[in-house]
Amino acid sequence: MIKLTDITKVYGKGSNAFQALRDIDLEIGKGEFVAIMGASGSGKSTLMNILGVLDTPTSGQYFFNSESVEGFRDSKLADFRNMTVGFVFQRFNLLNNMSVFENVALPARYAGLRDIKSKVAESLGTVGIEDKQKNMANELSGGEMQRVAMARALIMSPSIIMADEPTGNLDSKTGVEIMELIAGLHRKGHTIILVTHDRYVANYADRILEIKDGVIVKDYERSKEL
Amino acid sequence: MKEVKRFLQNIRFSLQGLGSNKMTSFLTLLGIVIGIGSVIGLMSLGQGTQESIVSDLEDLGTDIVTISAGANMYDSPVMSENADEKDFNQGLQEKYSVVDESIKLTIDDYNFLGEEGIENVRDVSFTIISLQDIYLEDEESAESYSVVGTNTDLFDIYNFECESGSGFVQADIDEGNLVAVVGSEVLEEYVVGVGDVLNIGGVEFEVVGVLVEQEDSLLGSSPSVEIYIPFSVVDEIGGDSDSEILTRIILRVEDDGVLDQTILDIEERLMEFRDVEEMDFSIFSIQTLVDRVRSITETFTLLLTGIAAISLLVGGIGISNVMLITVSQRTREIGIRKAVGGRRSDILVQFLSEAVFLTLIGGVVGMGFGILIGDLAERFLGLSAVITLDSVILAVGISVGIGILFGILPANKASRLSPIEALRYE
Ligand SMILES: Nc1ncnc2c1ncn2[C@@H]1O[C@H](COP(=O)(O)OP(=O)(O)O)[C@@H](O)[C@H]1O
Ligand SMILES: [Mg+2]
Repeated sequence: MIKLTDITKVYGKGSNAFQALRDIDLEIGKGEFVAIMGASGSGKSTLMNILGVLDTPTSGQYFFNSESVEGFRDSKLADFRNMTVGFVFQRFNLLNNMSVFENVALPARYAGLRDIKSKVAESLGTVGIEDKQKNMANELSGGEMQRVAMARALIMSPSIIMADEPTGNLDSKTGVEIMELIAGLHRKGHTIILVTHDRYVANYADRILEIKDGVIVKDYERSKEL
Repeated sequence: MKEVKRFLQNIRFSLQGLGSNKMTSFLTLLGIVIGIGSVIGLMSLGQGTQESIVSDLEDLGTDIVTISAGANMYDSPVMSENADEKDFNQGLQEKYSVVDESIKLTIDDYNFLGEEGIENVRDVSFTIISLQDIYLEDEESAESYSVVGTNTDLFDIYNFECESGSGFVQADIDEGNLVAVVGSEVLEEYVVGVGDVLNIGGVEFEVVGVLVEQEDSLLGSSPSVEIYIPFSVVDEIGGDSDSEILTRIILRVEDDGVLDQTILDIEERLMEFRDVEEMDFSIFSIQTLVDRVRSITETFTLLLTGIAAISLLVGGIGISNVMLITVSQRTREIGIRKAVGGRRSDILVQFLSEAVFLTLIGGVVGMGFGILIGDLAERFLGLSAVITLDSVILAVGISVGIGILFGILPANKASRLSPIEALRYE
């Protein structure tokens, strides 16, 4: 489903230039649960952002279902983020001064879906906080915020869920709850790409990519490693 | 259809945005309201002042042209130093005892202009003005008034009406009758009426008419404080008045739209008649004064507009500060919106519409505020205010400009960022 060839990412210019990714070749199939692991600053987020077309690579090719993403116009990239991927971030990235309902509904509003009410309710049901619809996002606890973010990621039923350190700002108990939700999504057929520096979190995945200084140094199935 | 729906959705987002960023919206609105209000208010005051001065002047008759001897009579001290009555009278003395004795307007000039039939000239009259001590019958003390010797045409030209009695008639002139028509404020405290006797410079005149009260003119002299007598009797009263030497010739034109040309015609013909190379008389019309006042008050309006524009600019800087504070918040919002499927065009439509709503509401409220300022100034300061299309266009233009500058440009910049750059914005 996803194929990267020779992807590099350079931040900054001239003497400030910093190469965050080097010649990445990677294939991810439909229904996989992949964890991208590595130390802080190793390039995990950079890689995920390119996979989610939140950012563009400096060079290299990105094929999605054999189609080169490079040729996508702004509107097609936006629609890709809208319908194909759902994002969950460490910092939640909710619109703080809006209600839970409006936050979850946001992607569906851009897509112009009908019957948004029941879709929001369904998404919030999946993450277990239907009762908070009318609350403002900034009134919630960290764990609740991350559930709202997950409900937002789910509302368009994307084939891929990308989560960048989703448990990074949560206590360990809440972290486990979030990871259980993600594992549940995988069982339902979503492809999961998870970024983490935490081995326990990575253990939810079936396949682990270890990245160091912008290079994938290991790529293995978790069960075989154990 | 899909595009329309998407467009409307973005409009809805913009209303949501205004609602959920109440403080920012309010402060921005406040800046726009104050800015627009002050521009419209100040400009309307400038405009109103101009129009009230101009209309005061025009009430004096834009169809009237006055000729006096000497090239520069309106440089005389009367115009500038009439604050104090003593100075005023002194100025009047100096003014009418023409500095260069040799230059005079005479009855011949009047006759020439009356007979020449200059195009557009309708009526011609003249005045012989002198300052005289006036005694009421049985009174010891005298007061000085200007006494105007003239013919009956002057009453037509100035549309004089009498509140009691009537103007003198041609027969009074022919027979040299000692009759006077007085302005409504003449000897107010003595109460003069028709039939009373006025001692003018030692000669007894019978009051035959009292003029209807006139608005004070801006020209230093007003019919209300003048006394009109047949020109044929000016020789009989004291002073150096002479029924052949005129203080002014007064003409009324048919059409004040072509006044400039008529004035040129008069200049040319009168110079020819008087056989002079350079003008030794001056021609004055209210229209000339109106034009001068217009240009002065326009400068004044421009000054007020400048002050308002500065206040708008200061307001704009205030707005931009508020906007800058929220830019990081809004940039993150743009990042979030793009990450979940918002297109660049969606972001632009949303922020453009936010700015339009803010400036629209601010514009309308600001206009009301400006009209209120004008109204209050009218009511409590006695100024006059006139709202012009100019000021509305300027104010709305500037507020839309501010909206675009401080609302849309940052949003446009943010919409160009990749979602992740926008999300990372601190
Ligand atoms: N916008 C940026 N500009 C410059 N350097 C950046 C930027 N984003 C990330 N980097 C650098 O790129 C490297 C990889 O970053 P990142 O992918 O966020 O690492 P990770 O998610 O593994 O911690 C880090 O050294 C980081 O400092
Ligand atoms: Mg990271």
